[in-house]
Amino acid sequence: MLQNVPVSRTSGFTTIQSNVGKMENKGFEITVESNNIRNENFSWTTGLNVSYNHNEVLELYNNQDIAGGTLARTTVGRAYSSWFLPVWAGVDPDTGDPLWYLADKTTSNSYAVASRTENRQYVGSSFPWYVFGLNNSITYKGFNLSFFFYAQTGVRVYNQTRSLIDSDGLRYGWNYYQDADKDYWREPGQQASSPKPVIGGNKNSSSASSRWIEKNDYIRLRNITLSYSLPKSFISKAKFNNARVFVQGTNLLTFTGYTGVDPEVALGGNDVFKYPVNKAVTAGIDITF
Amino acid sequence: MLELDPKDSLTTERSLSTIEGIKAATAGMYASLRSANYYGRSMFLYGDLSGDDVYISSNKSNRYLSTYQRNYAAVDADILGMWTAMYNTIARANNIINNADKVNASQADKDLQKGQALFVRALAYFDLVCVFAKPYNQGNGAQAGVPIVLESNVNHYPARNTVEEVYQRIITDLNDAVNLLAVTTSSTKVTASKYAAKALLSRVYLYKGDLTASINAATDVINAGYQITSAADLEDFYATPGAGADIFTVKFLVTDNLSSNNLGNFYLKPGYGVARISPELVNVFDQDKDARFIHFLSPFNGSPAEWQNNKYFGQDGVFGMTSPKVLRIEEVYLNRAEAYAKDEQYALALADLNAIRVQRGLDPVNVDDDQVLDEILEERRRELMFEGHRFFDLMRNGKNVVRNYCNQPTQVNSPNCTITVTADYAIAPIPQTEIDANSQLRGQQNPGY
Repeated sequence: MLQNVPVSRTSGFTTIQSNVGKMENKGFEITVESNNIRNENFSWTTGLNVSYNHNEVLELYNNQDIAGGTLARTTVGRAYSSWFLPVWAGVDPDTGDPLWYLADKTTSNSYAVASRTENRQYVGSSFPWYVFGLNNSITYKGFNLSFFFYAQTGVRVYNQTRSLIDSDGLRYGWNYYQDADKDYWREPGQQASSPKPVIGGNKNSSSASSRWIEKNDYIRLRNITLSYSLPKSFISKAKFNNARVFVQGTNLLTFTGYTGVDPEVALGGNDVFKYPVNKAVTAGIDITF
Repeated sequence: MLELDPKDSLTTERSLSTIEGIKAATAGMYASLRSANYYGRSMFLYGDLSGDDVYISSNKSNRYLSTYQRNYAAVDADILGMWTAMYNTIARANNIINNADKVNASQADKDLQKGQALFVRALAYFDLVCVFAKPYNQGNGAQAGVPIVLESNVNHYPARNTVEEVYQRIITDLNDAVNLLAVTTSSTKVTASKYAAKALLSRVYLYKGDLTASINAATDVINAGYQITSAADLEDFYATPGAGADIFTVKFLVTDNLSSNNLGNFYLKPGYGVARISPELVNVFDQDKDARFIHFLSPFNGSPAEWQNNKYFGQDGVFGMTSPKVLRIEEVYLNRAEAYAKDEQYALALADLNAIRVQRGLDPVNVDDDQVLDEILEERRRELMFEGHRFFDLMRNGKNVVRNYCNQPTQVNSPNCTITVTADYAIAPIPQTEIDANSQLRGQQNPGY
């Protein structure tokens, strides 16, 4: 592992690059291709690809954990750069204050205390567990319909975007998350998911914590194409080698529980105002002379 | 077979093997003082936002909130930035100090470079010990200070030294700097001079409580012929790097512009314009006569019920840019006045105080002995406002920060309207990132973090 290892900043440097430690990736990959139906006018083929990977750091320089910014940390026995955060304990029903768990399982409304190293916990990593691809192609005479689904599970995303736009009054001049007004604390005794909004922020409630860690499991229709190849009899008259008309859509459907705009977050898993992938519909004529 | 020296960069050993290389390193050392995490912005703001003169508007930008509110977590980014910038400055100074004598050049040339580096290293250690450790008089120096690093090496993991050890290092370095910079004069302003070293000594001894030494150091500087800025010249003073009163100024050229991170942008619109001036400070001025009030305070542009700081409107046509006057003669007069007052030499204290007042459009004062020190601290508040002194002046003198104007609708809320001088949160946490990387510091965090 070539790592930027943090050094004491009293040296004037922040990190040095070193070849330290060991990491293991273990998993499997299965590919199944099936010709479900094949005859003169009609065929249907299916391809399925499943892969599973488990990432684990086995050894680090001096057994010394490596902090990756303030959100993540690399430690032996866990995935590389796992989230290492104060643990969100919800909203105090009596006061509307934010609460975090401390190491002794009690809760505190002090972020200064909750964000101490000893009170932080590992709350997952941004590596996917399973990645699926499913491809189908159905042909009837000159028509072809093919579609490709992509799915992923196991990633824990840090939804930093939401920490900024659903910040319980800290950034009250900003545009707000669409559901920010749905379930916030209003009166004593109320069980709410968001703390009492306070202009200027409610006790650092939106600071980095497991509150913003989300699963982003999703299934996405990556591609769907419907095409028609013109009959040979027509092509030969027109002196073409090949002629095909098609309409194609990319990323038209997504199924996810993720609350951000797009579950397809880049490697590293930190969603900071990610620009969503495009949906596109393309139509065309493909002629070969 | 294997070429160990990189092709696209110079190793420290090679780059510091000539006097030209050492001089380039000196320029680089001054550049690190300009960082927005140090004298470029954070250092002055730290001393003012922590005190009772400046607040952050409720229409804020989220910068430096934890400094104003004094509710740091150990992971605070501003504090990490300051720690990193200060030790980066020290590392650059160390390289010069440890290599200057090895190069082939005249002793005078080498001394000049080494002396400047010793001054800058002392300045950075003093700033570190003020931000990260309890004031000297809370423990008489035996309390935890900051790690002293004299040779910068990524394989070193130093523990904290005591405050006393850090002060001794600073004083030794500054005395060495005075000797090595013997040829410099009072017209050396944007690089370190022997008078800069003595002026800083007057401050360091004052913070340490060594009154005679502070008075002697200040007297040497005052006798060198620096002129207190006159009321007529005051208006342009902060746009004039190296003015007559300057002793050591971190000079910004137009090319050093930090743009939105310029110090002035934090105070003024159309910059962030979120640091505004407490009416408590406005009320300590004679608003008809005092040139500092007339030139530097006015109703806030766009929010006329509030007050704005006009010191840092810009320099060389660049909005908000300034060359921070780290040491200037007015502070040295006030250092000596404070030391005289604490040494019960009240007539001399008042003479130094009045030397400033008469240049500000004010009449000399003559107060009872038991009020001289308070009068001097009030004058320091007026004279050195927005230059990072206020919070440390209170801490040094064992006075709590009491913000009587606090949690008003125009202000961002602060959980702390009073900062007790002995409170845990009166000093900053050692950055968690440093503790994580440096096992020697585990268990050495400041209490309360």
